[in-house]
Amino acid sequence: MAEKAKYEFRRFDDRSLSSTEASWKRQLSKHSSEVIPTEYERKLAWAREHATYGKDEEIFAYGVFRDGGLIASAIVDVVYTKAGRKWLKLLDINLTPDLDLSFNSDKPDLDAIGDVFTAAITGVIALGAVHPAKETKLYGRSGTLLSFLKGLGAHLNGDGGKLIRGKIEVLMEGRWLVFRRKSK
Amino acid sequence: MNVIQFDVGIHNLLSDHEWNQVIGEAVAYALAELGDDVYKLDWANSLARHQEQVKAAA
Repeated sequence: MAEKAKYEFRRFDDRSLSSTEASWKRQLSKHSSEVIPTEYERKLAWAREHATYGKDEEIFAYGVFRDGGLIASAIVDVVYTKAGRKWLKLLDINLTPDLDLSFNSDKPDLDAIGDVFTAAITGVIALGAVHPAKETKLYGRSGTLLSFLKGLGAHLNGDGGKLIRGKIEVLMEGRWLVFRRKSK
Repeated sequence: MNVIQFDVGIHNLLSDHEWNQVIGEAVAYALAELGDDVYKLDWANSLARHQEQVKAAA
């Protein structure tokens, strides 16, 4: 049995940006009959623009990388607002074209998609160590991600929430899945 | 006495290991729900496989 891939949420640098751009463009050319590349190209350009992580920044591009590699399996949009009430938000998880387009097939790569989502969500929550916030919010931009977040929330509010019960409240607010620290 | 620490983010309320466990398990169920919602494929196998992987990684 093949060893399970490990996915890691981390910052982009010049090398990983260039490798991701080249790989995603190769994948897009493979799927040219199924997809208009503009959306992915726009996201790649956005990632390059927001791959700076200075203390004054509020919008960040993070990647989910497989097995320590340089090609992102997803570009994750993260916002940390500093003024007023502090929020840490995951605005979108943009899957690599191969994974994204597997949804159109009979066999979406669920194992990989689950691992990428797990890495993105735990990664954003872990950013709370650097950017403390009473709330971390995950936005269901696409119908797919929204369904997924609803399922996540439902499980965490049921049997899956034992570890967080009494500490963290999990709720859906519109298209947002919200993790909110409980006040005592 | 309870002390409210306003600068403590939710991340600090659980260990990294606990977060991985909580989210990993929930993701497996969310994927099953998503599949049920949209695809009507054989999600039970995928869910079981994913749960095994989550347990193995924990």
